[in-house]
Amino acid sequence: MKHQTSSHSLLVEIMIAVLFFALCSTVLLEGFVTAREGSSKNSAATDAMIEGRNLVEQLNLSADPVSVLAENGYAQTGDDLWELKNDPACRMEVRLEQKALSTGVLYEAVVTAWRQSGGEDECLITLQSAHYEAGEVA
Amino acid sequence: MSRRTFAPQRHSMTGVFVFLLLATFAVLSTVMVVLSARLYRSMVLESAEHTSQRVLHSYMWNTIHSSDRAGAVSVRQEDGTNVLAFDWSVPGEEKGYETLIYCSDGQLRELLHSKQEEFVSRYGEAICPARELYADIQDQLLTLRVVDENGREELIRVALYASGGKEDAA
Repeated sequence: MKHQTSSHSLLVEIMIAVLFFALCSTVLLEGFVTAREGSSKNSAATDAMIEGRNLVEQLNLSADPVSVLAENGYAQTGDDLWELKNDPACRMEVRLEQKALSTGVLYEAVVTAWRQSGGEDECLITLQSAHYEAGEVA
Repeated sequence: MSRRTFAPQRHSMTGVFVFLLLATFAVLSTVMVVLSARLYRSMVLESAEHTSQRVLHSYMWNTIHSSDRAGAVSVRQEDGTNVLAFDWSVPGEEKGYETLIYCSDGQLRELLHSKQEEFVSRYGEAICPARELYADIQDQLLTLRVVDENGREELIRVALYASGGKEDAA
């Protein structure tokens, strides 16, 4: 009877240890999953920043932003909207605007990178570009 | 007799159960530690890779934009090494200094040197790990291709607003 009691107490002790281990594992795994998600977001933001910055540098020089976007693989999806879907984790979007001024034309572009997170679009970066093309003054 | 045979059987079952529980605990602990270590290692590697990527891009964009003056940026070869040069001398003067950016000994290097001195690649200050640098200037757009330590090619485009750039026979 005494032996049985000590065996039961050992069992209970081990089960408490296993329970404690399970709790620790859950907390640890949650921490790692959060870190992994942060790392993946950071990675997507870095790639998007480089992609966006390279595009902005080209758009800043060009008087024909449409051909620059087409060269870079962007497809028109709206009136002034262009999109690039190379990476399933990240979507690049460019909103083009052309303003006719009395002395020339001002081309403005807003480059935005979106990432799917929990079924919703999350904005990673936004960059702006402007190029002024002087016209003939009457 | 029957009691003597029954008791050890029950004990052995409890013992087996305790052993199985301990074994599961040990196996799960090991799996947990191995998985965590692997995940942590991959995150550290990824983070280091992105840090060097960001260093490279930021350095290039900032250096080139801050050195963008009329006729200051050029691309040429020195001792078989592709060099991106920023001229700091007064226009028309042969003497003066220039900043050279190039790859040598597995590092992207920056060297500020007198135009009259001989180019010695090892004198350059190491910026970040990189194997090769290819530069091209077309229509005021400077396109750089840097092969990093892992053999991956990084594309960097920089608009030259002031200098327009010039490309020597390379």
